[in-house]
Amino acid sequence: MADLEALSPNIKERLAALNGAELVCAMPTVATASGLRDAAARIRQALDGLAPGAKTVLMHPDGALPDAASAVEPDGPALLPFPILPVDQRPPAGQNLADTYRMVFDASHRLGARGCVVVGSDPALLSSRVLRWLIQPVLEQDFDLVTPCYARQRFQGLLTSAVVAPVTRALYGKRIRFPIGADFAFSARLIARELQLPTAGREGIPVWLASDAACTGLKIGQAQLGIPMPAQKDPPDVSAAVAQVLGPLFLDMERNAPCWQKVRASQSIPLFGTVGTPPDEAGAGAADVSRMVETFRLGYRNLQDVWSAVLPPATLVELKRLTSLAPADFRLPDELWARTIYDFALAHRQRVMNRDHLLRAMTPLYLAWVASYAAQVEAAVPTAVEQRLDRLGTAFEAQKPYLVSRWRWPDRFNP
Amino acid sequence: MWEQVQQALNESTTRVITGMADLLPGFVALLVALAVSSVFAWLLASLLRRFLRSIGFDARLKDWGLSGLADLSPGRSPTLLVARTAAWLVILVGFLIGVAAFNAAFTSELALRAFHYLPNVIAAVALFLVGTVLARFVARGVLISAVNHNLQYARLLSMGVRWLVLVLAAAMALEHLGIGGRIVELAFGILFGGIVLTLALAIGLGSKDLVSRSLERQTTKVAEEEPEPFRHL
Repeated sequence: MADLEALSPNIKERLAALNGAELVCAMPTVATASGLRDAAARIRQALDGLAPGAKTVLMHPDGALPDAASAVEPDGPALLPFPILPVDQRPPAGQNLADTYRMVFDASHRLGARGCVVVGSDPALLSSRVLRWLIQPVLEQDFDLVTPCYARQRFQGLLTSAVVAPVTRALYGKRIRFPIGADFAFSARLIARELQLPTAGREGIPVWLASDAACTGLKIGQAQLGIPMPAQKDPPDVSAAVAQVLGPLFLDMERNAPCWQKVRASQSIPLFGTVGTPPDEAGAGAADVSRMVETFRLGYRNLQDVWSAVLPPATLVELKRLTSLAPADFRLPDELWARTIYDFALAHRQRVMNRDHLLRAMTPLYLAWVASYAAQVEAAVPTAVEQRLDRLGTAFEAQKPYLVSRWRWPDRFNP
Repeated sequence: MWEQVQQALNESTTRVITGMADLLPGFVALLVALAVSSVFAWLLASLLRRFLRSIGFDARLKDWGLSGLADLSPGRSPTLLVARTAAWLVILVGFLIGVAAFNAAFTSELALRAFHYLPNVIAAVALFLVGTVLARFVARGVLISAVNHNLQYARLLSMGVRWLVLVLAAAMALEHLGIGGRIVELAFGILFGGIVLTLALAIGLGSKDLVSRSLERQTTKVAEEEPEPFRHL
């Protein structure tokens, strides 16, 4: 885990010389002096009328901008070069996104900032108005966490749509559309809380930001950013993406079990900003899902030993029925998908087998969901896509008693 | 003459009966040793079972990532495996004690050889157990990976890898036991090579289209390929 104490003396001196700040803004993707100048100007514009004259510190990647100081006007935000990773991309091997968040939180805490914004998207895409929607709820309305609300593209961020968002909604009772993303705003309260929590298990994709805030009873909001999710390059193997997202999510479920077992129903989360024009996907056309359905069938034929150690017989029977469907008619019921996710979460907790094997063995099932979802939304308008995902979230909520029962009595409860 | 035959018969009968009478205490001692060791083994197994269950041994093994051991255990319970192994060891010791009652010199020699051989046996058993667990682990990983890559011969590939590891483990175990010598090495080489060749042929013939397409892409550098519409992260 990264620690400010381990940083170079220059950074520590710079941090001390700043002598406090009102707002810390971390922009790990700024790579040029002009980009830095532009980002500083946008921050200043965003704060005009919101917190005029508030001292702001802009954290940017160190090393890349030797002439950084000359890039920003004297009345702009103070600069703080830091060894931070781009939060919109998979970190290089051996490095952890959690370290970046931890470092930003630590700096913000030491500076005594009231709020902190992490902008992982390309800052050039975010207008000062959009930045304001991210910052304002924290500085003016006492919100503790503001999550991003991206313009949804129906086939982007599928793991978030299929698993992370509905699980967050069902478990923690918060209808957050994008619990994982690259752009967040945090209050000093949440930062102090995050710095107190143990770092063990908080690794990889930061699914714990929303769940920690929800379990601590802190106020959560969403900011309409109007841009698509930052383009991430998927790993060459889908199963690696599945393991990258579901591993941290299942660990988080295990850690927060006492909290989410008490939560009943869900509530909508305040949304700041106006909805922009949805991305044009008219030319997207029909997606070919036959290969995904074939992978699912192959998985059903070959992974019986693995799946039967995780899934109850009733679920296996339902999956068998799906193998006989043609790709055009392929539909995976939401309730079945929700129970499958819950069963895998439980198997992950019980260590039924090696955890990496377990997560990767879920890939054919996930591809079955993608095939089913793609067939349903390929011609849908954006509102219909949102409604479709809302129904999925409702199904996850409806199946939560099943999860709670299996979680509490894993040996006794086997329908 | 007839009297001499009769005397010889009487003497041999006496010798056999005396010999049997000499062996009888040994037999009784063997039976008693086996009975006592069985009772002791049962007690030990029972105590071990209770103790291991009280500390949640099976769950702990799972937590340590040794869930593969459950598949090798009776009733999928490593607790039972440990208890039964301990019981059989006690019975084996009882048997050796019983055998020692027949002839002290012979059994001392036997026990000495057995104890010299014991480290080899333990190493061989450990090697084979590790090999079995490793074979299952690797085979499952290969199977899952092959399915996720949509390979139709996923099971064949997984089975081949499993047998490769098992054959390797068995050959190493036999070498430790000193059984077979060169024959084992030769058989292992033939079997291992055979499996590799079979797999290579199966994969090569099964995926020739895939390989040719891949080579075609490499040579013609097709850049205008349709982008994948699905993004998972």
